[in-house]
Amino acid sequence: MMLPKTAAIFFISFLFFFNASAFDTLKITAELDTTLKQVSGVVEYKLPTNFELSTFEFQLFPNVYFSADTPYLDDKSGLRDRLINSKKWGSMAIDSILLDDKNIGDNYSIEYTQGIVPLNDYQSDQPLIIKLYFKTIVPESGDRLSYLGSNYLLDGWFPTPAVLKKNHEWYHPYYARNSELVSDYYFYDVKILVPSDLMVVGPGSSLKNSKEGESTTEHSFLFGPAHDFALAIDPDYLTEESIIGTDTIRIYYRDYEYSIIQKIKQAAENSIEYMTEYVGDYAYNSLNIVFSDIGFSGGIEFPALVSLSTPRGAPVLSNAYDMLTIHEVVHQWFYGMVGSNQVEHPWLDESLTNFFTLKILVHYWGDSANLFDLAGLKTTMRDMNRLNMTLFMGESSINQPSYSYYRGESYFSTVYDRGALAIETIDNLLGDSLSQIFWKTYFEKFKFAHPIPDDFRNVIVKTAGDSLAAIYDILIDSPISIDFSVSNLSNRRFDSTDAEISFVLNQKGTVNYPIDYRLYFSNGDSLDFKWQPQYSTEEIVQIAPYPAVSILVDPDNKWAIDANLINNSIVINPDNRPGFRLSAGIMFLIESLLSFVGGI
Amino acid sequence: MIDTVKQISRLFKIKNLWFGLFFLKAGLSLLLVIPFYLINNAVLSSSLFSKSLVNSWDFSVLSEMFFGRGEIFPQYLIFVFVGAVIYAAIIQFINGGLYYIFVSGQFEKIDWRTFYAECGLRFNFHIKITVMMIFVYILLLFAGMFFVNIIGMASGHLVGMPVVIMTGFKLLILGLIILAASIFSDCARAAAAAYPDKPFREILTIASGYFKPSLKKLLIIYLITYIPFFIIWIVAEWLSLTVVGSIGGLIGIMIEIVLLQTCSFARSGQKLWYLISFGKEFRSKNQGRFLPKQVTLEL
Repeated sequence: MMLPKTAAIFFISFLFFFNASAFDTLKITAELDTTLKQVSGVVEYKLPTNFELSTFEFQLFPNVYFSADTPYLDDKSGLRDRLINSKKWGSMAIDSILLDDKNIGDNYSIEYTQGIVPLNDYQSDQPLIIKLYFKTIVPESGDRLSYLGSNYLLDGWFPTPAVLKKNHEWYHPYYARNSELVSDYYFYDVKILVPSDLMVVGPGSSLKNSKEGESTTEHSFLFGPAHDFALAIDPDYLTEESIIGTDTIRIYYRDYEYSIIQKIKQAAENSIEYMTEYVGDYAYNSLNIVFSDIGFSGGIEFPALVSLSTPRGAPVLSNAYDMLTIHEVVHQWFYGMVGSNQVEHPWLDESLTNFFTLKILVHYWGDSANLFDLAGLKTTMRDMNRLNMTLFMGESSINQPSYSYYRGESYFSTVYDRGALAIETIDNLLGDSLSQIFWKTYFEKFKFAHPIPDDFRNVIVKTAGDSLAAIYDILIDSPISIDFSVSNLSNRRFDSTDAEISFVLNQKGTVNYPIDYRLYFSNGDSLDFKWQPQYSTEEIVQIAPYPAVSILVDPDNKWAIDANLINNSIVINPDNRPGFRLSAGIMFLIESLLSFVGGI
Repeated sequence: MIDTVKQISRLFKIKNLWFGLFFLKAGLSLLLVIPFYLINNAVLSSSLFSKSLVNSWDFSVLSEMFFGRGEIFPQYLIFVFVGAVIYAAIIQFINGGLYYIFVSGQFEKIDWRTFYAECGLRFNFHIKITVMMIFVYILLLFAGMFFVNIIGMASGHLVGMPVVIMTGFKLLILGLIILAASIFSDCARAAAAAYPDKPFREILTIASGYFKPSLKKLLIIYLITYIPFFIIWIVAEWLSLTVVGSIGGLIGIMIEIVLLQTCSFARSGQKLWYLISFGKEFRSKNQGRFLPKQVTLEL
């Protein structure tokens, strides 16, 4: 009997140590001073002992707000102008660093967001405990780290260790244009002292205790594994809660934001339901959605926490805020649980997230006007994706570092819009049978890890083989635009019973993959064929009992990335009605313009 | 107010002018739209994707059309802009005759020879007024934006429908500011018609002298004439969408064209109706050369 018991204890101990060593703990003790708008405190981190490190390196994210000349503010003109006007720049300073409780004085260096502590004199068999005493000035108003009035959004507010790569070298993300915070997964043990009149919202259900003092309250959080720990603070937060399956959604809002709560809640519920079913369970079991006075209209994702700006009138006129909420909630899967290097490979979270946003909108809001339907003008999210995609088509590839896009519009157009359509194309080519297997495999395999593009590609290869991986290479790694088209449709009598149908299929951007096309015949029937392109232009001749009236390339819209959908089809008898109606509408617009300029 | 409403019956006495102005606008628009049709119809007519346009303003077709062929779109906009400038110039020519007949009150029996003579005589004045008003509009637009932004700041915590109402309110204020400027230009044009011998500066002084005390009344006249047109516009848009969505096909499109052109025709009528009332109002205060000559009875 002893042996099984010993084995069981050994097994449980092994599991405990395995888990304990999988993610390190960051212990943070801090205080928010609302008068000075600063957070000061200490971060405690235990260095790994299973290999030698010559340095300990850490990130000081708030220095991205240090001046108008930082690489982060380059191309963020709105944010930069706000900071120039307010003159309330953000920054992080290190007061002192203790290694095993010994102050190292000024034996460290800081440049922009990178801090380096040499460790040559501190070799030890025991885990080295590093304490970083910091002071963070919160900017008014930033984006991830920001305050406005008494509303605070704190992200990157404490020094975090730089990312320790597999080869035991430290990696510092380059926080330049379009970049977001990158860090390893940790367990967070956070204590923060905040004035008692402020309500503090952390990730999910991480708040464990609040000890109220004379004028301040100490809030204790335990959270992880996660690669970020953000807080939202406001004196006037009200709470609305909803439960979907085993997960709880809490929305923190001000009374004037109440009218939008039901829409936000519905969008969040739908997202969690869909993602849980299609991709995998939500690991944190609780998600907090807060309204923050960030200086732009939009949202920011953090693990188990989503920050939205106050929506104004958009929810009345469109589903833009539903879409925004879905996007940020989906990030809990692709960014939160499956991490990625958001600076070097932003598409791994943004393109995937936008693709699932598209899927969820179509699933719950339909495919005809899921974004906007006013005065007969119907718009879908896909329309907007396609429109934005075409604006910067052919300039950049989707797999590029965020800072390499020459301006914000190009980044968003390529990574968010073209990226989502490229992922949709891959998903469509996987087909219904493999799609869910692919996403579940990718999610489970890289949960609480930072996959790179090759990891994504490898899962494609394992799920669907090399031919689809070749499509991945074209769609993700190259800037080319893909356009299929059909032209020169003609029929002629072949013999007494059959007709000879000839037409030309074209492809722009070489794709070595079978393309579906459909022939519609004069008797109302249709037949599907596959085109295996060998050249960019090929004439196809078909013999059929009936002449063709039209041909449609990619009839199931699998190639969502196709640059032009109008040329995907051709009809034998042109229909002038669409052009006629559009021209009549344009004529009325011109008349209205003339009435405006001429007064009559 | 009732007098303005009554003036609508006089509008039907100038139907030739009304139709003429409408056809000028519609004709020029047609000329401008023909290249658009020729360029795009070939693409749309042979595609299955564009068929949804027959029944709805499908944004996906429009975006594929315009932004998939980015090089054509800006060129076409320039083309339309040039057309609009030409139209504005033609209207400045016509304004000479138009303000003459309405300020003199001789619009029910138009002497076309005099009409065109007045067009030519006052053309440079109307161009000057237009150029001046462009600057005034730009200035007022910026000033108005500043003003409505202050209102916007005061309503900072609104969310949802109140924001839409507030935006509508802000646009209304901006619209009223621009409308007031437009009414001033009417006053200047009317003064130019009534006092052809006065220099430009003096005409502006006369216009200004009339504009200040009469603004409220003229605004009301404008709104009385504008509201029916606005209702026609909304109803025409709604009806055309309903017809095209339900009947569809070529018949639906033809009905839609008739409805939209009715709307455009009503807009021309609205301006003429306004000018009838405005001309009468202006004449009551500034008769100028239209002061009735004293008749000496020869016994």
